[in-house]
Amino acid sequence: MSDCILKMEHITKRFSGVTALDDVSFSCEKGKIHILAGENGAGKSTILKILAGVYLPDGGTITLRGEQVRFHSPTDSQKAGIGMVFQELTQINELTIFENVFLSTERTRGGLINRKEQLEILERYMEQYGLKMDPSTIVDRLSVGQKQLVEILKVLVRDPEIVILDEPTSALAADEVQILFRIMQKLKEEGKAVIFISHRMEEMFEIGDLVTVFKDGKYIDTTPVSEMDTDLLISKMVGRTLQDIFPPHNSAESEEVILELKGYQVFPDSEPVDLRVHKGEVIGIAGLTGHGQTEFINSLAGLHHTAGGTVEIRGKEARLKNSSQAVKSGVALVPGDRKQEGLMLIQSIRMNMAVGSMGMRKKYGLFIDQKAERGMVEEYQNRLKIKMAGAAQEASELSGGNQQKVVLAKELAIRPRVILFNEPTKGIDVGSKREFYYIMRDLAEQGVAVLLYSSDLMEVMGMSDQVLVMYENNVVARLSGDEIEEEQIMRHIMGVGAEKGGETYER
Amino acid sequence: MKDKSGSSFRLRGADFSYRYFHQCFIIGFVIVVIAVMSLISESFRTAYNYGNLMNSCFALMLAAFGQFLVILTGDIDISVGSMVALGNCLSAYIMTVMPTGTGAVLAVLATLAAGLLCGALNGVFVAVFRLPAIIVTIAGSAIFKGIALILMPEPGGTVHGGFSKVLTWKAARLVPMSFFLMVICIVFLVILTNRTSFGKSLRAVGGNESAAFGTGVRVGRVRFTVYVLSGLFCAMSGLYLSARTSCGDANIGNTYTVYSISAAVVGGTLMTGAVGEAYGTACGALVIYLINSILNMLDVSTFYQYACQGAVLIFALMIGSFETRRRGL
Amino acid sequence: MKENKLDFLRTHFNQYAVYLFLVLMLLLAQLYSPTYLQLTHMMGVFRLASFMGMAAIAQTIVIISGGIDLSIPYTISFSYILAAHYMNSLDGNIPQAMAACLILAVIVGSVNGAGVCLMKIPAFIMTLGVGTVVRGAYMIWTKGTPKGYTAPLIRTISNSSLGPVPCIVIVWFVLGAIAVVMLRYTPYGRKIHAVGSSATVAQFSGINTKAVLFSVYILSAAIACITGFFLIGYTGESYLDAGLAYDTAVIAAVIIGGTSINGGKGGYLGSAAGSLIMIVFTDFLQIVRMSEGLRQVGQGILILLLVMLYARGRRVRV
Repeated sequence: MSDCILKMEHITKRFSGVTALDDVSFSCEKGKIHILAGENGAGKSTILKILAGVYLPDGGTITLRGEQVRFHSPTDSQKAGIGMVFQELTQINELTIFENVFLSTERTRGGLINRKEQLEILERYMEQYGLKMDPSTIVDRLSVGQKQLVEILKVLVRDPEIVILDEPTSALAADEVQILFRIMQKLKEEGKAVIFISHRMEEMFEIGDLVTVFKDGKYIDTTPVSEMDTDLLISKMVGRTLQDIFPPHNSAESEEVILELKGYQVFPDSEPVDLRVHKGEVIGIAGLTGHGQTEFINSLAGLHHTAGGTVEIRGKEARLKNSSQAVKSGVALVPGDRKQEGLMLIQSIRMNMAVGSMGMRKKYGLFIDQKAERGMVEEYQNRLKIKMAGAAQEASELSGGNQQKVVLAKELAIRPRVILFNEPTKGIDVGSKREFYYIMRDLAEQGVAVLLYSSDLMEVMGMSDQVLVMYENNVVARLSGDEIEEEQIMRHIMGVGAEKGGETYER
Repeated sequence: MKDKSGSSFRLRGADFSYRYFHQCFIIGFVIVVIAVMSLISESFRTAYNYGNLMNSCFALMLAAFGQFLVILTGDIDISVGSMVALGNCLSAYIMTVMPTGTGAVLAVLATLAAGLLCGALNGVFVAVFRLPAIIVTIAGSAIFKGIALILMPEPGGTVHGGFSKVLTWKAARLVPMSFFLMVICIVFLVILTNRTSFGKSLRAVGGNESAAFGTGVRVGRVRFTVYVLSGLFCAMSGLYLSARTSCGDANIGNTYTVYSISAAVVGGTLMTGAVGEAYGTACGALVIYLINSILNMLDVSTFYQYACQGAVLIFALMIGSFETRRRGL
Repeated sequence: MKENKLDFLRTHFNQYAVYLFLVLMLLLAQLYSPTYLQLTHMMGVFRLASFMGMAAIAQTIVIISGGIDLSIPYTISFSYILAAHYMNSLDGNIPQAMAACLILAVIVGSVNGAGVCLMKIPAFIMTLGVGTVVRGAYMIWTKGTPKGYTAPLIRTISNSSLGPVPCIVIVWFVLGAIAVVMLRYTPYGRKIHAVGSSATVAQFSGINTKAVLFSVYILSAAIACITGFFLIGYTGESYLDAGLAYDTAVIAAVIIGGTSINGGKGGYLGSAAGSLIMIVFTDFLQIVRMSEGLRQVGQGILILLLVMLYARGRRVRV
């Protein structure tokens, strides 16, 4: 362990009585990529935020290059050579890439910013890591993936010795992930320590050297990736193997059509889609980020314009011009961004659960029926096994998985006939994921049409009876039964489908 | 993404218009209005009138600069008007009690110090205790106005002649002192907000506070400094008013809060923070007085002034809204 | 059941804490001047507070929806002038006066609403601009000298009492009670809270956010007009800018009443106490013969103190 650059020993952290980290030790070496694995709430983000100076530990020591240190603010940590790419973007939308990258580390001369010097530095770094961007672009005009890359550039410019990446790939398209991996490889060659969190297994195995597993705020162990495989890793994280994470498909096929799309067009230039969802079916949607999946799903929930076509729910035509019409027609949506679109973080769990279905629990036709509302909250708390202190608890205090369950409860409370899931398991732990899969299957059995978009292919394959693959706002393939297979889907996702592959790729 | 070959920190095309569209618009608007008025009206076309216009709007301009800095951080300073009034009353009070040259110097120093203190009071509550700016500055506004009233329960007092002369001096009997001061202030603010670390931090706090904090910007310090600067600019505004009016009046700043916000917003500063330039704000302040001046010349009753100012503000907001939507936000 | 009560307290704590402070202040006033808590004096205080309290209903609703309405004082002034003009000392003219005020409310409310929800202009600056225009409009209309006098009926409501209780206080209580119930126990009130905490989430949950926001500004203008309408009964003769006393003071009353300036949280019960605190405090300082300047300083310190004590806004830091 001669290359050991960082040692964190016996770290303990409590949040208002709840122990998030319990006597955890962690160390990392130069020139290695360290993977942190564990369910959400296992303490990965917490220990990294302590390292980044965002939280102060309640106990334990941090030793950096043999010296004991204590970080009181992000600035302290940055000065010590630690660069963290946060899960949430920390960019200022109104400023340019150039201004963002150098924010708070401006090179100055005589009190003024030395823009020439900064530009030279920036260009050097962009060349070194193979990034192509115009530094004078205002960040607001970039895609989420590009913003994430700027975020990484921002950390690199600070020339850190330890680079922390907290789930950076969840917003990246496949080609951008490759750019990121190139950067990580380069950092490794330069002898820097890289710490990487991801919920995607295949990424861990592709890029990692060492994998450290956390569980319930405790350190489990550190193993070289070469000695690890998917099943072993999952069993370490949760004590369960991959096989039983997805519920079995429905064997008996039903003829009953729940949802039918006829000539459905989201964008004026996309091809019309016809789709029938039978009772008991889960329809999966696959595609790279930004190929129209979110728009497709949101349009069904009345949140995006459509260009044409009709939607029939149980044989009756449904009007879905806006979200309140959609809710009235029985279309529920578990949106893609839990914190921005799904939950009112400052409000109580009760308020969050009730907000979509208030019209269904009225007293004297005017007031909210308080008793019925309490009953509803209790019902979903039990049914979805939500861990919460009480109905008045603020939604922001819940863990990711439980927050997502509250969102689901809100949507189930409208008694949906169609339920749309947009990345329902993004950033939640394996245990909660499994519960979600079983609930989805259950809903389908009960006669609710279930549509699921996920960027996690395993999930789409494991859940769907039929898979629609989207590429450039079009449904380019429709797979069912044995056709639902990784290589096949991947080809369509990349726009190289069997017949007209070449043509679409050129566009 | 654009071609990498022309890599530069200078904004072009859509990026340029994102940041400077509104500023260009307001500068163009001011130039056109002044040009047209000068062409059609002989009484407008006089050196006296230009100087008078400059002088009458300079006090508001100073207050608007303070407001502009606070708005850049995404907050608002309701106490601007009261701080101007306090600056005016305190300087007049000291010069009335000590009508000597020393008294005048003392008055200037004391007023600037009072401005700093007022700003610091707002700043402490916003930055250290993290209370919402609007409520802190509402409270601050009452306190500062109260002190001004204690100093000058009735308008009155006198001002040292030399002090007055310096601030209302005209170069070659043509260009007023306020013009030079304005240029100094604008240059100072443009450099401060665009070419210094502090300026970038300021905009960053307005753009996304938690992101700025995570990047290492000392959010508290930035906020505090901004309120102190606002206090300082308001004190200068009060001093200038003392020199112009030769007396102290606790109600002199009553309209300044609203007008300073107007000036900043008409000048292209976004209420949501981060975007805005000092010269735009100066033009915004000028527009308010241009309207008054034009309405006076057209011999329209002063009652129309309020309605016109409101209309101009709403018009500017509509342009901003149009521009925002053109960007597709 | 016990847990439910705790939940309730937890949600509404700020709004009750302010009552504690109000009682404390009244007791202190009583200690200093033994006649302070006498019924006649208290009713005078309540009468004064009722106008601010009514204006605070409007402001509370808008602030909970995540905005702010700075045009309220100007709308009050205009409706006050309109009411006096059309009443012209005759009871028979009340319907015309009401109609005029209603039209004003609809116009001001829709312009504010259109700016805030359709053009996405920040509420603060939009309502400020509209307020300036409204002021300009009544300046032009009256040429600086408003005419007219209150109708006797409105004068009776605003000035006389039913038993010991002034009629206007009853009007205030009824309006206030409606506001409390609406905000807390109806789907519409919930929607206002939802839009205030996150417009995006509200929209994703099937709420027509634009309609809710638009209606909030109409409602605010309407309540402001009601306030102006009764205010003319109180003063009798018409003045310019009568409503300007209800600008920042009302915002302060709402905030010290525990409503979050960032929207989504709060209620009218707190704002009512906040209005009373503002009035009692100035009233008390007048009794102890403090000068205008000192009174203002005192008021500023009081606001800071109260906000420090319990309405501490939680700013998100990472």
